[in-house]
Amino acid sequence: MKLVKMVTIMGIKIAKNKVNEFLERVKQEYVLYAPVENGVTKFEKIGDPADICILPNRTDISLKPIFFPPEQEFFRWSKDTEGYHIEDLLENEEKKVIFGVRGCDIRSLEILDTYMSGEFADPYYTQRRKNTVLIGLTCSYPRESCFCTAFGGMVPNHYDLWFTDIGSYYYVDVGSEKGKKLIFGDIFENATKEDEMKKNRKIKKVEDEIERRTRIDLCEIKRCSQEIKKKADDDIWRELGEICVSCGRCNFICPTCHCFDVRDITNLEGSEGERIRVWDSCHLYEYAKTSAENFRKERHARVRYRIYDKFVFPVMRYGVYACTGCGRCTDVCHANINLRDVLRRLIS
Amino acid sequence: MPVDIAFVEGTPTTRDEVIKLLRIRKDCKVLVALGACADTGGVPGLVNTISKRDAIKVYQGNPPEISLNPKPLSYYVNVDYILHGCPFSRKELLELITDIVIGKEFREKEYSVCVECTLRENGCLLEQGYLCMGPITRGGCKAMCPSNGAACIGCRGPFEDANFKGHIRSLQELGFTKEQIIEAYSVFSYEKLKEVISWLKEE
Repeated sequence: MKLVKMVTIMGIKIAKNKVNEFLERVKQEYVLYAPVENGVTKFEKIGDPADICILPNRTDISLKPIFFPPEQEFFRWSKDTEGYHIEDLLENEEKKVIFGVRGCDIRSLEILDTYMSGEFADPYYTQRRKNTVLIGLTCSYPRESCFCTAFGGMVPNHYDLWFTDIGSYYYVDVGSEKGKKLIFGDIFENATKEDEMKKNRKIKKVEDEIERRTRIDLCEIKRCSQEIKKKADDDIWRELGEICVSCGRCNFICPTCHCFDVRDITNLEGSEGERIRVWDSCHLYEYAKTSAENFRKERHARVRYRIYDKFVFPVMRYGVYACTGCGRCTDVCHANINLRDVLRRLIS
Repeated sequence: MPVDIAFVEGTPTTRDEVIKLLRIRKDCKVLVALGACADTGGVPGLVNTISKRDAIKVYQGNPPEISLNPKPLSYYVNVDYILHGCPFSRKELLELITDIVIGKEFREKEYSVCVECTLRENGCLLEQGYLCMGPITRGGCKAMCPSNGAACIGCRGPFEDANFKGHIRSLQELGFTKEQIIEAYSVFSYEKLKEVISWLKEE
């Protein structure tokens, strides 16, 4: 069910060979980010729209690093006879359009927003998050690890524009005022009823494919999280603890994981330095180390904590899962731990 | 002559060198083991995996005096800090000296090379079929080798929390034989991984 009121009643579409012209026009006002292939597929700033790689499904690396980079400088400081001087490195917001975003990525931004721009707002994240226009794209077919349908489907509730491939055109859904401003009359055309039907068929086809593969339904949030909570002493955790190598890749690749460590780096005299933030991972031995003790020394406890921090704790606190079903963690796991299988075992 | 910080590179292989090491220990406040050989016994430690007669062949009839099997420095003396790796990281060296000078605690990296490799958004070499030692090797090198397309060979030695069985399992699933894994495990850290290697041999 869509929560967003459709801004336009008539459907619109854009010819595929006009997409580059459209993006070129967008670039005049915004910084454009889109998927590129460079060893791995990820979102990068685009100079020439011809570099854009239109993929059949999600990128290897999520949108997270754009807003919350792996290593970020907060401020630099120096000390002289007058005292300390601080140079804050909070950037000016940039107006950006991100093209080719998938449903799972948009959902993950919504989740990150609750953590990073909610009760305890992080200025560095919030600043980067401001003035972002998201142009979504329906996947052509899912990856082996995808299971976004378990969280309600491929098309998210909020987007600015949503493109769906319907042959030689993209059908365009408009989801916000920001998106509507990008509908240039000379590039977009009115769509027919038939186009809309094509779009719906296409989305349904891909969603059916995902569902057929995953056979997992997590839509009853309360019940599922209760079910997982009950399994705190299940054998599954020992089993996973034995094969997990604690590399933290699932955390880093996860579009909603947001733990970080703050470090101060100084020069030899201690007269100058900087404060940086780097990503941290709850799979690492030192993550739960305090001055008194390390309360998640055992590997299985760390594996369990990650699953709980996706499917139990956020539900208790915000009423949402912190998972979008993108399946990236499954793809990168050295131990071949499949999140879908784990969940299926937990809620069966 | 007493010094504040002594850096010892390499590891003793003769009695005289051991005596020299003991003297250094006595004369310094802080002893730092510098590099892989001092840390784990390093590549010279490989000699422990084969018989001495075979090992000496490498010198082609002109063998130097190797009276002792190479061991980590910590086998002989108390080591205050270790700078891992072959070569050790310049950045870490600066970090250590800074921390000692300004009185901050130097933090050992208790995580694997995979952590830094992932932070650099590299593709995974294990997935591409390389025998990568990243998952059990201590981070801190900023994943220099994997970032340049070469699999990690474990020069920094294993970190404390490493899951060897898990790593071996995933290597075997990728199709590597026991012998290949034993070889990779022995290159830099034979002295530290003896038990794992003998477990693997028996299994």
